[in-house]
Amino acid sequence: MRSASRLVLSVSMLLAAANAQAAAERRWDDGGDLDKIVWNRPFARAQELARASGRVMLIKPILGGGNVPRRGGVPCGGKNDCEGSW
Amino acid sequence: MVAEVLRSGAYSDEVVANLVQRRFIALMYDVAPPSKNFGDGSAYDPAAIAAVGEMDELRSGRGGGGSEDPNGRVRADSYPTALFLAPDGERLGDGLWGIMPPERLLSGLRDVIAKWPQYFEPTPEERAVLARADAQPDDAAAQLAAARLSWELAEFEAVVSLTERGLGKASPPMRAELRYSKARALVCLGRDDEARTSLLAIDEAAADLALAVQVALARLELRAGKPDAAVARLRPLCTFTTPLQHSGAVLYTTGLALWRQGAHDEAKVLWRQHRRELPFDRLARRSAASLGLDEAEAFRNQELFETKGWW
Repeated sequence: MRSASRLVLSVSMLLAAANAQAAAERRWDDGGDLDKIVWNRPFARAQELARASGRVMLIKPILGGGNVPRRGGVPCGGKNDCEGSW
Repeated sequence: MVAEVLRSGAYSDEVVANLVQRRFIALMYDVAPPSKNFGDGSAYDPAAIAAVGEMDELRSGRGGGGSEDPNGRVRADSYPTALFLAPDGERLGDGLWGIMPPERLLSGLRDVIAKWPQYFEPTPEERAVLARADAQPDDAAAQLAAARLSWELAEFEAVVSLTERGLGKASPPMRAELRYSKARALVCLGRDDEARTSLLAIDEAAADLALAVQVALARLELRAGKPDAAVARLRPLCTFTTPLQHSGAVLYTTGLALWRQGAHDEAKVLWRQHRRELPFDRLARRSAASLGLDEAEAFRNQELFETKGWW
């Protein structure tokens, strides 16, 4: 019986075989992973979306320490953060 | 920096992110104007403050400012995790406070959904997906689509039920998807042994899914207190020329397993690789936060110390 323990042996081969089309479809290359939460700003925009959709606003206040996104930075927290740190 | 603990922790969790994206409009804002801000105050938003209320009043009676213990554990009981406003601006409940793992945040979100169900109705598209699965019980694709939707809504029992219904008539590739979805839901239900059985039954999977299966098995090994097994499983997968969807999860999870083994320097190498090579991956922020304050300008990833409430 084949099992996941054997499957791991073939994963490296599968990785090598991943074709260019799959790479082109990687959704995290441009604009991030769709599984990430979209943090809307400012409040007026978020409320507009909430009213249009009838949904509740989930609000994360930060108590000081936010920084504007830094072009060319990495999304890692801190001041050099291309998504804005908080 | 305190908020970053949640942003890289519970808010970067797949289950939490899916439910928030499906059912809420997420908003962040800074309460401190630029003149009184450790950062640049770029997210300062007086309109949000007017709508939500003054933070001093909201946090009244809650002890514990933001602090980090020597071992990296962050305490911040008076820091808001999430506050909730109805579309008309009415505040819903007291919100959620403090640093918490994904499972507790999910529980808080479910409480809000249960208490104010009028704001959480399914969309017409969601109803159609679920109706199709009901009307065509022998259609494995319909069951898988409904299972994926239920996963995104964190309805784990429904995922298990739908995937079991789909398995009977599914083609081999679809059977693999169904078994994987079932396993993820079982983990979230705390049924780890059943989850492992479901994952081990997958014998034919595309490259992306094959990698996801290995990550899921490794996470089960971590949950069972077996970091050595997780490292042995994932370490060979950390070298790649073309990253796949779950390559970031491989790097983060291998680092986590190494950290739990005590191999902290080796763990950091992988987290740096993750941050450098896949910076937009969902878990890249968690890898960065695992590197610590000096390197990532953020308090430490709490999953390094906590084993409960993460899946």
